[in-house]
Amino acid sequence: MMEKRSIIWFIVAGLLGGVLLNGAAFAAGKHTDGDSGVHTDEHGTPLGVPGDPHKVDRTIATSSRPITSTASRHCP
Amino acid sequence: MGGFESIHVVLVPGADALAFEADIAAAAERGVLAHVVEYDPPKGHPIDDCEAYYQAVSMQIHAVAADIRAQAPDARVFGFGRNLGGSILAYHAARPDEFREDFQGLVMIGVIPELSTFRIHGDHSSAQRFRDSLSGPTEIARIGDIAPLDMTASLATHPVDRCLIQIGEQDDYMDDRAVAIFRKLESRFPSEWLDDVHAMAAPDTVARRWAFIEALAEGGRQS
Repeated sequence: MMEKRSIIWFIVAGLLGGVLLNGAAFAAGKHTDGDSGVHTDEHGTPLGVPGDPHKVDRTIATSSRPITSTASRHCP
Repeated sequence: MGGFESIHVVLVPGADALAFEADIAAAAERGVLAHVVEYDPPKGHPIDDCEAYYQAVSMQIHAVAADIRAQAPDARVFGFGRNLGGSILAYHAARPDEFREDFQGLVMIGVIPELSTFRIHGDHSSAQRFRDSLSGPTEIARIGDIAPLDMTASLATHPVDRCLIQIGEQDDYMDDRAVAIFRKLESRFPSEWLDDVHAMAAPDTVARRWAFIEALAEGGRQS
């Protein structure tokens, strides 16, 4: 019983961590692609690794995904 | 209200999707309808797939402009492009098809004038990361392949009185090479050097670009 509860807490903590990490990237004003985790600067260049802004984080810099269409938004 | 009747503004943000909050507020104050183009960040190979990416975003820009005209045939449509969005908007306006007629005027906001030069030679972390994202020296030597997509190339045939270029004096993306390129461009296009940073959202910067399109709209009405 105790073991089952631990597993549930582990899953809940993982989900919360994911939400917080995405929120932090959004708050930093950088684009986060929801399904691939690609982060870019204003010119579409992948963001740097923590502590070294000159180096690309190759764990998130994907280069083979197709271009997908997105919407426009109307601001009255 | 001034000369803003029947005006629409299409806003193309940078790849970081930074919102055009100040311009959306300025549009609301003037009774102008603003339309934000929302697009995905670049995917595919950074050199080989770059033009396909520009074309895909350009199609989205055209869809927005076409939708405006479908609903308001007499609409006067202007485009604001920030950072990468400006590079793509300039590319869109240079297309050899009906797309180039989508806009009566453009404003280039914090746009690196030659992204290829910036990425080949730049010391900025963005330029270094671009080189770092490539597979090695062979690919780095091919960065010049994207030069035809540079803003300078796209604006080469653009009507000079229908494009304003806004440059931030505190913009850390603009190195000496970019400044030298802007000095050449300002002999052709209206150019404003402003006390602003890369996002170019200071009140004076925003007011000046709205004054530019208001003047264009007034001129269009009189002609």
